[in-house]
Amino acid sequence: MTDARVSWVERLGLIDRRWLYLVLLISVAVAVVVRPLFPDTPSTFVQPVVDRIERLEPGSPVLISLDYSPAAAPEIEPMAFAMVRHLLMRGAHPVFISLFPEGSAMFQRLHAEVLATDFGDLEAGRHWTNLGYKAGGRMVINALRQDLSAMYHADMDGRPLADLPGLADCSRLGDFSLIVALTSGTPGLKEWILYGGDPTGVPVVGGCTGIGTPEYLAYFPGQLRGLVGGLKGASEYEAALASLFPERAFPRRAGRVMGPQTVAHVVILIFLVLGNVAYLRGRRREGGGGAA
Amino acid sequence: MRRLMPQIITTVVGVLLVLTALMARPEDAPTGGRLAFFDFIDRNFSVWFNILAVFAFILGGASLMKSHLIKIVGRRSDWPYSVVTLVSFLVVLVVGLAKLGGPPGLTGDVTHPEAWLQTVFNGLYDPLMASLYSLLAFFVASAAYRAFRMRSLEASILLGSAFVVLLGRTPLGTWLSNLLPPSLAFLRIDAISMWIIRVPNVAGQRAVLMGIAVGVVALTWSVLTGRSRSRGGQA
Amino acid sequence: MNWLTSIHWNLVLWLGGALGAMAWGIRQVRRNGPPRLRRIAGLEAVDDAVGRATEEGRPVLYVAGTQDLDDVQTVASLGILGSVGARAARYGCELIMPTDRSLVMAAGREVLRESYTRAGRPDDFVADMVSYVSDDQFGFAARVDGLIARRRPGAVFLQGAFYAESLLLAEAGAQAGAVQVAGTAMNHQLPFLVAACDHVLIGEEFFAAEAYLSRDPDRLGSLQGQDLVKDAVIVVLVVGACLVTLADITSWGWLANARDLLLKVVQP
Repeated sequence: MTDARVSWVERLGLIDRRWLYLVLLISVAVAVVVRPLFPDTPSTFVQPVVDRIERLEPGSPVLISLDYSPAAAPEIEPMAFAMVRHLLMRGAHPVFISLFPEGSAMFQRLHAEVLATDFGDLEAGRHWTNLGYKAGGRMVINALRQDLSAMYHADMDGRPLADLPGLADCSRLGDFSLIVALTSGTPGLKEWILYGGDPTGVPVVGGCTGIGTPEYLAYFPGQLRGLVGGLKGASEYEAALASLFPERAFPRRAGRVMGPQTVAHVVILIFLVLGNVAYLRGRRREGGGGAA
Repeated sequence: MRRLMPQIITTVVGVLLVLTALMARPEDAPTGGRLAFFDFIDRNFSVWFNILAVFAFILGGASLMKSHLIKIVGRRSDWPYSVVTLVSFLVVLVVGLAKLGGPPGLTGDVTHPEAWLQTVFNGLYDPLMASLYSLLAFFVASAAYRAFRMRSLEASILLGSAFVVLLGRTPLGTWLSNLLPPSLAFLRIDAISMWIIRVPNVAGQRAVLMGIAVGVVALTWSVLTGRSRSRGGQA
Repeated sequence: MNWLTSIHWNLVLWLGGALGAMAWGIRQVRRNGPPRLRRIAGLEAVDDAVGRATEEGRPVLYVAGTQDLDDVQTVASLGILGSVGARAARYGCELIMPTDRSLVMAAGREVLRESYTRAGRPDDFVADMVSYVSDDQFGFAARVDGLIARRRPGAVFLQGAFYAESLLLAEAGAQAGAVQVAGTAMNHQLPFLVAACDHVLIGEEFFAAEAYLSRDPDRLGSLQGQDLVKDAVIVVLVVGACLVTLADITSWGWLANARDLLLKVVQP
């Protein structure tokens, strides 16, 4: 006769998903409160970004495209803040634009937390420039290849491009020393690689969400010189920045989130193991039982 | 005529855009008659499409209001949610169009810190979007728990890869790897994780991309020649 | 005539070759009949999914991606919608299609109107089957999740271009107990759809779906031509990898010349 009883081990494979959500919520919440900081080192994709910015001459114009929305901000903002800090510490001239409608709001946050806080002595237009959002996706990039003034006549404070000392030697995309594309979707890094970097020869480095990392790795290292992928990549960049400028003690937002991310991954792994133990036990029981 | 005219427009515009993509656009070369024509197309067609899409907002907004008003008036199921939808829609529309709180006028900056739209963005839209995106963490956990079972050899390999990559993308993976002696450095979880992401994963993605490219060419050809049924079904 | 030198001749070569291969495939099918198709489980499941939803008295939910009509994946999805709509019309099953773009809403209504007409059920078509929700990614996902939770569809079709909302939609459908058939060319969303859906059309399978479901001879011939193009790509990949490797490790000039010629052909 078949033993139809389901053991407690097999019940582990039938846990209501809400218990899983609760365990995940509690464990991540504890990790968020504790906020451990783990040591980190740049990987083979992040290190080239660090090196390229380190080699920039003071005053080099760098185009930074903030192509992400608030939903992706928890992942992209830490790397955006770290890269902008690095650029300004090296004396480069970041020029901010966006192909996303929400990009202007994302710049406001970057301004509040980085430009105004850590570099309040630097002037808009002289040390950094914000040109704002333009609709059109790759059409904007194509137009910038020809002439900056085809898309922008003034910065977001109304100063004409001709009056901006930081853009004195910069009339089109090819005049920039580096393109930094921070992306959570389309238009984004792929468009900057295909229509910005490839035709002009300007090196492109990027930052993206963790999900997008494998897709953009297909372009590394040829057309994409470096990639900061997800929170892990942002944490690695922050660690590099901390080792380059220990005296500044910049906040390590992504580094602080690696603790909760680690906890979340471990919880998921535990449930995967439990689910598979239950599954294999159930399969063995069904295979071993005889007909009634 | 109802189907012929759209097809003619589709074919002409599509062929012109394909020809434009086949033409290089050297920044420093002087443009001649033909190059300038294709340059004009490349600059302007996507702008014109964006303008059409903006007018389509009106169509969408009208459809949204109509469907929810019908629900409210007819007291159909969940009609209170329709009230919330319409009120939110109209409030944000008025706040944004009238540039309330911030610099006035058609060109008034809606991202001005004092603009009411910016308050709505920071206070409502931003946290709502972040919350919904955060749901993914829970859904990934439940989807993985349900789907990653060792049903076959392929599923077992997938499970093993997921294990390695999940560990390798965290400091825990680095810490565990540091316990290995130097002679076993090739077994470092973080290194294997990077190898999985960088080699078999990218190889698979490139292969899928190539297949997609061929499929896109075929579908585009069928659309341009009027063979696609995307304008009509087939029983 | 300087415009001649500005043409990407290698792209013209590839495009011409691909179209020529498809034309050859169509001619072969017209001569010899339809080719044998590899069974695609996701497409075989379309009929079963709609039938199961009908038996359970539950609606079918169709999402044509979250991008606009200028995205080729949306166009491909509308082709599949025609087939799904025709089956829903034949079985008398309710079909719900929320969209996040007004143009897609308009196009979806046209496709379904024709599907229902061809199925002999023009009066069963109601324009409100296809509704516009919101252009916003997560606003749309929230609405569709709510729809799935309340209406509990028997079958969910997620066909088109998706971003982060793909798992939100797919997991909601899985929790509602629906049979789910997904299809997309977005590589980074495939893992989520595979984990949460019953069947997934990956990349080229998604673009081949319209031909597969309609069994139109010309489109099947085009599939045959596409296979020929892929065979050519594989040959170029293998030969190219060998050429580049050997040219790097030997000092044979003719190998280096062959490598350079091949790179000129394949690079834009």
